[in-house]
Amino acid sequence: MSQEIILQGVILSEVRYDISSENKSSTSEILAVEDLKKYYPVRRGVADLLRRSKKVQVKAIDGVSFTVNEGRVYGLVGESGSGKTTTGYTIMGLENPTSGTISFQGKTLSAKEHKHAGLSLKLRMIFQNPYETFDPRKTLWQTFSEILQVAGLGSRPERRQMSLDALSRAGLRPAASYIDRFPSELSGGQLQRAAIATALVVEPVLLIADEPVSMLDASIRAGVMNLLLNLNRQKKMAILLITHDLSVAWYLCDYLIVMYLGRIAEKGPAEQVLQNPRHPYTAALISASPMVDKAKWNFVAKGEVDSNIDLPKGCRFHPRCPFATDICREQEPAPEVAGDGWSYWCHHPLSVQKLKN
Amino acid sequence: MSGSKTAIFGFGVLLFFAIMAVSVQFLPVPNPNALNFQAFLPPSLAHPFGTDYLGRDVFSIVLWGSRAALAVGIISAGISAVIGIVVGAVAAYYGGWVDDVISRVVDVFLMIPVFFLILIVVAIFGGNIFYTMAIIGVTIWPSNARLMRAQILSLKEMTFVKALRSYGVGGFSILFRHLLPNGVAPVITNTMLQMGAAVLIEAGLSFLGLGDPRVVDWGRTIYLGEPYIAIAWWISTIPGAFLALLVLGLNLLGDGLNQVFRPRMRGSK
Repeated sequence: MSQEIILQGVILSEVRYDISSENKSSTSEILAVEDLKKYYPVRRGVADLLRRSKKVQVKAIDGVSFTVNEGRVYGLVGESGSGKTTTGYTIMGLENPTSGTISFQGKTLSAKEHKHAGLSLKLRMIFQNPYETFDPRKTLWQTFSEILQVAGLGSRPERRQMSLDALSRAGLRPAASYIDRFPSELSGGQLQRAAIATALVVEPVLLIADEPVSMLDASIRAGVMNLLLNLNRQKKMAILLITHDLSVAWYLCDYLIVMYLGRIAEKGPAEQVLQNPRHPYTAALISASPMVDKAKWNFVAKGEVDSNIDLPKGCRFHPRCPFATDICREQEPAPEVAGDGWSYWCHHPLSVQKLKN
Repeated sequence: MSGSKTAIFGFGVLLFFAIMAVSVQFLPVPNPNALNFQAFLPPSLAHPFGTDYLGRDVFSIVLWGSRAALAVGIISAGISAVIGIVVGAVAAYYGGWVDDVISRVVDVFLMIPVFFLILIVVAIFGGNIFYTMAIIGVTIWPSNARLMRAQILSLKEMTFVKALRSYGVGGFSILFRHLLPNGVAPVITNTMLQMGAAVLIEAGLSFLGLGDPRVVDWGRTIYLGEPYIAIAWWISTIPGAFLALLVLGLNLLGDGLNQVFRPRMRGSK
């Protein structure tokens, strides 16, 4: 892949932190998600109850397992409805899982622990819409003060200083001129930086970033992305980046987890997955990205994402896959290993076929 | 008229009556209950609004009556606001069966013709003004509850609630310190309108002879002056005009506040 990437018109120079140059096994596992499932019941009318029709559920996440190591950047990618945001919310404790376990730093989390403020010191999330991340009636200082108070950190002057430090590390300088403002007095980019500062103020071990740049103007995306990268490098903060945009994922991530309809299609080291995808869905996502060489990447998935209610039998991707055969329609694929930490779930992986449509 | 001008006019009217109610005991006016033999005197310098059928000074009745009117408005609407805000907020935030039960109770209240319910209760328990205030307050809160519920329902889906939960902020604190201040504006507006409605309900009860006889009250004065409207128009008409002015002022204040609050809600999106 080229050393320069054009991201919605903005050229980012190649500043990626190359994991291959470091000892890959040097970091320890901090988050383990095991067979996570999240089903939402579909509200039924009286007629359905009378007809005794089967209980209908939306399977937002349907058996997802992955691990996150200290100081690495993971990309959770997929289209809308793939369950990537729900996965983030469930790890954060904002949704209760239907089944499966989430272990953070070796400890299995229950709903109770998620509500405990101590966990929020280490596990933080930033959200897609920076305009709605802050209570519109509170100044940044009031929000920061509440965060630190809930976490039980610092006296009032100390909290003020910690907030100022976090804001200036997030690139809002001079912090003193921002801290007493209301959210409506800041731009989208400034708000997203302030949102990152709400995480920084407690120096988390893992930051879950849900589409952190998708609502921002192209001109400020690069700045926010570089801020995240710097934090990752300097503070060894692991990031779980949730995005639909493969160019963002390529720029930031060490590992990719590709999700489709609540399941993982492929996961592995970002460079390898992006250069040589095994799952046709990964290839389709790469082809859909505006940055790629269209001569090589012309792989198009047919139609639309299927409904999470009536999931296709067999491989979930088969109705859209050009390589689908009878086995895909009948049998769910088992995980196959493609390399170190790299696996995929497909009966007809792309390595044995040509990338053609 | 723009929203802020309407609100300022309404606030001016409210202030006028508030000053009247507070300062009336220091004004050189006769006792509103003092009788004399000069009944049915038309407005003059000695009696600016004339005298009623028992020779009581109508000007004095109008001034003293502002106390009862304002007290009824503030206390009834206050009770309604507190019940409505808490009930509506709890229903929306906790959802599920809590919401179902509360919403059905609200529906029952909305089904009942409130004025007749109040009429029956006052007829049974007698015309004590405090009962009247309480019964008005506990029968008009459902509209506040519905407004508050709708506000909280939309606010609780906003990202900042998820953010607050992710910081470890508790549910009670999120509801009462973050969601309530963001959603309370329409309830305040409605409370102003309800103050006007409460004043009118109380005056209506008094006009039907169910008022508190110990309290100087516009509604009762209108009721007692009504048989003499042909020979002494001022007994009913002047207190009626002041009643109308107060209710108009409260409605304008409510409408004006409604228009003033709206742009801010758009800005918070």
